Amino acid sequence: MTETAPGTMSRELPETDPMGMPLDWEWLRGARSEWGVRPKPSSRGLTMMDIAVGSYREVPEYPPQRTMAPRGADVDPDMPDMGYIVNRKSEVWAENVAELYEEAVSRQWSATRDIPWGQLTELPSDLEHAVCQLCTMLTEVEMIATDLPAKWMWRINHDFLETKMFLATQIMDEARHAEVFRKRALANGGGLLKARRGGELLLREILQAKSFTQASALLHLLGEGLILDLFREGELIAPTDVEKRIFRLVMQDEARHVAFGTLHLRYSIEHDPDAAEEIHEALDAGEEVLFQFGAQPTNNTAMATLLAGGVERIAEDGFPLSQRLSVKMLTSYLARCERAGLNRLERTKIPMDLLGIDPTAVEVA
Amino acid sequence: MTTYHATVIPMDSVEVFRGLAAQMEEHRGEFEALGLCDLDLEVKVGRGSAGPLRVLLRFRDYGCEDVVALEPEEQVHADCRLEGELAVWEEIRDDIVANGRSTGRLTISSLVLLGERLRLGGVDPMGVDRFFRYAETVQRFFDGMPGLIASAGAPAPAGA
Repeated sequence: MTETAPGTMSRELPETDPMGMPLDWEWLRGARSEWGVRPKPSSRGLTMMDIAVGSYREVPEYPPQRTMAPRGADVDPDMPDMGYIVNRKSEVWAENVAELYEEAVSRQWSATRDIPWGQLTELPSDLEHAVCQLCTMLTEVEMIATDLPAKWMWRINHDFLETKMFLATQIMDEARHAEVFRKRALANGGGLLKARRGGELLLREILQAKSFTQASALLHLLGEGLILDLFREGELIAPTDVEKRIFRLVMQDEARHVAFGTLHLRYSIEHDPDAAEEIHEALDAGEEVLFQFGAQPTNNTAMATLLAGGVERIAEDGFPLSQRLSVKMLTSYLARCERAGLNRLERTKIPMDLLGIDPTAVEVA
Repeated sequence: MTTYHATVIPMDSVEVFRGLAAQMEEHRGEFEALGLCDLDLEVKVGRGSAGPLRVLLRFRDYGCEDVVALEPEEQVHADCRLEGELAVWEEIRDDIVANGRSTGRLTISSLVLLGERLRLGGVDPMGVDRFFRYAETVQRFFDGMPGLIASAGAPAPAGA
């Protein structure tokens, strides 16, 4: 056999090994896939955006097979079927997904190393209890954002590799969030406090989403969008530098997940005429459960206590500020819906009048 | 103390932001540990009748690669904008200088959440959210102020 791959010398190659078994030199003779691409590293190194060149940057709308073979490889026609059920690009794609993957890898942090645990100081009992209650709830809800991507990842066609890679980073992020909040609950002499039914109802609603796009709407846009704003509040009310650092770092991760969800939903709506209604249906149900969750007094009183700096001024300072921040939180959520191409103002289950949400603020937020 | 710091770090001067960008470069290793940052952030410092100072900070990779002074009415693309009167910027500075970093409700994130004295805005919610993707990097950028004092040859402030 004569080897003829471009750029190599022609030579005779053996057709069998010393045991007489046939050898396969097709990989050396040159496959149908593209050869000779030379992506250039950027200032950061060689990124996923840098290697998206030539045919390797093309992501098919409908992958021709359901295999784990790398997109762009020369794939046998008779590959075994992996049984993927998410096989349409618009079901999972976001234009910023490679950028977000690189960012996620670059901005990883350690709940063990990067939090100044040694700087924890003894807090008044009501504040320590409030921090621990908040951390109990956050430890519970953060793992949904690990479970849900994990539930969908093995169902997603491998040609959508970048999305699967990003979801893998989200799984790690959320595991770290559960870790850091659990650690904080225990680290200062407190512990895990109340886990309530309302939280579980919301998590079940998200987990049982019927499609990845519905799951993304519930998780990334609704759930994580609101948790992002809750983390912002956490940074505000942090009693020590330890919590400040925790909330700033989790905030960064959460904002990345929201950015993926927002642009995934936008891509989905732009490429699938049925997607908008599908997303609306998911959010109709999700917002109702969310409102019940948000109205439950356990976490609200803990947050208001932290906002007031203690229970003494909770009525004068805590609840009014909590209410004001809730309005900002829901306004941000509705603005992200608009950015995703989804007008929720006419359809939202959030009682905008009751809460005092100004629709014009949504449009300009 | 504040008077001296106000001289070394006048918050209504573009040179302060250039100095902070230089501090970021000087401590590049710390920012590399935080991860890459890709953010165009406009900072607006209100100066009453004198008109605001407008500065565009271009964060790329692990540094602030460009600090651009903007004209009062100049149109510019930025992911988001931080806007507050000079007094709040001075309060942020004094807290950082006194403690070596922003504390309590004077962190950038806390102030913009309350939204009364420092506001975070932008035309695109995705651009505004970008600020939160890099919140720790942006905070550490401003926390570099004690380094400006050290660069000016003054003793390092307490807590720095």
